[in-house]
Amino acid sequence: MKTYTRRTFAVLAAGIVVAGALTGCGSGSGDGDGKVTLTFANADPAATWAKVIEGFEAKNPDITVKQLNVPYAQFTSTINQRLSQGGGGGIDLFAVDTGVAVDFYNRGFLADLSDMRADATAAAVSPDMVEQNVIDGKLVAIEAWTTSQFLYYNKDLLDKAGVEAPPSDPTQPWTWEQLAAAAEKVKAANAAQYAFLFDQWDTYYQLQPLGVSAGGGNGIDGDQVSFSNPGWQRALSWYHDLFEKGLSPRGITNDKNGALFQEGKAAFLVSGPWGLTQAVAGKLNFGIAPEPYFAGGKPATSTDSWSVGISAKTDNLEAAKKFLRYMTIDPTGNAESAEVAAITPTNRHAYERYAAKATAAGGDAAKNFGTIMEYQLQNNAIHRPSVVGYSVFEPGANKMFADIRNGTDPKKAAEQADSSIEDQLKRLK
Amino acid sequence: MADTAHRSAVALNDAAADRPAARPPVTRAKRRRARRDTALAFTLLAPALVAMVTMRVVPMFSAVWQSVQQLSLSQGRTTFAGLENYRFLLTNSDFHSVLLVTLVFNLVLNPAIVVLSTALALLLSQRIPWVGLWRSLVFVPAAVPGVVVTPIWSTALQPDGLVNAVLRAVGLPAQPFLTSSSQALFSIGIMVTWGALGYWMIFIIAGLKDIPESLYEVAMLDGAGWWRRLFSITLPLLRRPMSFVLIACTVGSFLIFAPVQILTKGGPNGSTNLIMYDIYNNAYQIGDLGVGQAEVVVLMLILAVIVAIQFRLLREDSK
Repeated sequence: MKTYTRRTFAVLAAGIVVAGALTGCGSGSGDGDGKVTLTFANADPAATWAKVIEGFEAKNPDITVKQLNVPYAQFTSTINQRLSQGGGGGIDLFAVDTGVAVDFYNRGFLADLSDMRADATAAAVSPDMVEQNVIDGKLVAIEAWTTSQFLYYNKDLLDKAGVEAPPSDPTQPWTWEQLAAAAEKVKAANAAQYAFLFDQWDTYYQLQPLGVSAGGGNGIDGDQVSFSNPGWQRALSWYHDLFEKGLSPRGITNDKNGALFQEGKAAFLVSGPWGLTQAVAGKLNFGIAPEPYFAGGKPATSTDSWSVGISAKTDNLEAAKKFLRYMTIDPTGNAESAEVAAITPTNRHAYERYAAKATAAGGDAAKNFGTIMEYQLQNNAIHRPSVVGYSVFEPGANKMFADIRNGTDPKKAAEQADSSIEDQLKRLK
Repeated sequence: MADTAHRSAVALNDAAADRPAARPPVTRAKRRRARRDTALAFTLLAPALVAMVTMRVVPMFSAVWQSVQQLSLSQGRTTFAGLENYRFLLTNSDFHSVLLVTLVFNLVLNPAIVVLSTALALLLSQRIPWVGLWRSLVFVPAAVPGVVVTPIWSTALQPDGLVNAVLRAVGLPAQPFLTSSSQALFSIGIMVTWGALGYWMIFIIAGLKDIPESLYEVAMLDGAGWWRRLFSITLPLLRRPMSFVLIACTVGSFLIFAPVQILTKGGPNGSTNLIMYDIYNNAYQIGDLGVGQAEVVVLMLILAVIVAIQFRLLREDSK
C-alpha cells in the first residue's frame, strides 16, 4: 500500500524532526598532549577572563591557558557531561557556581586543593569565603569573586515623601519592617513610581538572608526542606505583603530593576555592588545603607559568586594550581580576574584597591560603600547551603518565591514547595 | 469525442515508446551505469544524510537511552533505571498539570490560529488598496525573533504597562495578565498568535491563488453569492493548505519555550508550565537529565499520535 507507507514515513519524519529539535546537544574533546596548555571552562564571555589569562601567561611563558566559554544555562550540564568522560573531557580548571560544589565533589570532579588552604585563607577578605568550599575537610575550589547587598535610596524621592534616610553605619542597619514602613510613606505621598525594588525578585540569592534573619535557617537541612517553619513564614509574609500593599510591583522582570532605579523611578533598591555603578550612571542624588534585617533577628546578607576548581582528572595539576593561585591568592591576578566584570575580588589587597576605586567613583554618596561591604563580608555574609542536590533545591525555591509574589498564600506555597522539592531530592540521592 | 481519440493516440505512442526499452536484457554496461548513478546520488545526498542522521536520528535514540538512566547526586554515578523515570513522571501530580496545561493550550491555540490566519488571508486577498503593505505589516511579527519580541510584550503587559493604560483609557479595569494564574496562559497565547498569524497567512494566500478563477466565474453565473462561494468553493479547496497549517502549527506550538522562560518561568502556580519549559527545567536547571529525556520521549509520542491523526484527517478530506 503505497499511501500507507508514505504516510508512515511522513509521520516518522515528523517525529524525527521533532526529536532533533528537542534534543540537539553536542560534545567536543580537548587535547592533552605534552605541552602545558590548560583549558579553563567558564560561563562568561571570553573577554571577562582574558585579562587575568594574559597576566598569567606573561609571567609563565611555558603555560598557555585556553578558554571554554559555555552559556550559563548549559554550563552545569556541560561540566557534568564532560567531566564524566574518561579524560575529564579535556578540561583542567572550571568555574564552580555557588551551591554546586558538593554535587561536583561527590561526582569526583574536583581535585583536592588542601595544600593551598592556608594561603587562600590568609589572602581572603574573610576566612569563610574559603571555608564554604571545604567539603569532608578538603578544600575543593577557591572563590575568585564575591558580592554583597546594599540598601540604595534616592534622596530626592525620600525628601519628597518626608522620609528620613537610613543610616549608613554598617552596624546600624534598618529592619525590613522599617523599610516597609518607609516605603508605605513614599507610596502614600505618591513620591515615586515604585517605592521599593529588589534587584533580583524571586531568587534564593536575594531572599535567603530574609529567611535566615527571621530565624528560619536556610530552608533546607539535609534532605528536609522547611519553608513552612515560622521564621521563613515571617519572611515570606513580609515579601507577600510588599506586593499586596503595592509597595513593590508584580510582573517586572529582573533585567529592569536596576535601570528603573537608575532612571529615578524607585525610592529604594536592594542590590549588589553593581547598584553603585547604576546610581552613578543615573547621576542620582543617592545614598547607600547596609542591607536590612528582621527586628529581633540577626543581620544576614547575601554573598558569593564564582569559585574556580581544578578537575580531578587533569594531567596538568601543578600548572593548573599555578594558574588558580594567580587568579585568587595573588593580589594582581585576582584584581585582573574581577576587573572586566566590574565585580568584587576576594583577595584582601585586591579588595582594598577595588573598594577605594568604587568609593571614589561614587563621590560623597558612596563614601561608606567599602566600609559597609567589608563589614558585611566579615560579619554577616551567609553562604548558600552546602547540601547534596542544591541544584534541585534552588529552582524549586525560586518558583515558590515567584508564586508568592503573584499573590499565592505563603503558607500554601511553602507547603507545596517543601513536598515537591523533597520528592525530587529523594530521586537524585 | 475528439479529445478521447487524441488521448488514446498518446497512450498508444507511450506504449510504443516503452516497448523497446523493456525488451532487450539489461546489459552489464547499463547495470554499471545504474550503479554509478546510484553512487553519485548517494555522494550528492551524503551531506544531507549525515546531517540528518547525526542531528536527528542519533539524538532521538540518545533521548530514549538517557530516559532510562538515573543520576545519583551523592555518588555522581549514572545507572540504568529501567522505566523508573517514566513511573516517576506518570505518577507525579506536577507532570499531570504540565500535560493538562500543554494540551489545553494547544487545543485552543492551534484551531484559533488556523481560523484567524484564514480569515486574514481572505481579507488580504480582496481587491483593497495597498494590499501589499497590509500583508507586510501582518507578516512583520513573524520575522522578529521571539527573544526580541517577548521582553517588549513583558513591558506592555506588566500591571502598570501600556496595555493596561489603553484599557483604562477606554474605561475598562486594569488586568493582571502574566501575574495571574487565570490570565497568564491566555496572555502567552495572544502573544504567540500575534507572532504566528502573518506567517501562516502566507500559506493560505498561496492556497487561495491556486483556486482556479473559472470556478468563481461559473458560480457567479449560477448566481452564487459571496458566502455561498466561500463555503462551496473557497473553504473546500483550502482544506489542504489549512490542514498543513494546522499540523505544522501544532508541532510548533508544542515546542513553545522562549516566552515561558522569559516571562513566567512556568508560573504563577504552574499555570504556564508548558512541557518544553518543564523539560528544560528538569534537564538543565535541576540536572535530572533522565526525567527530562523521559519527558522528551513522552512529548515525541504525543506529537506522533497527534500528527498521525491529523494526517489521517487530511487523507479522508481528500477523498
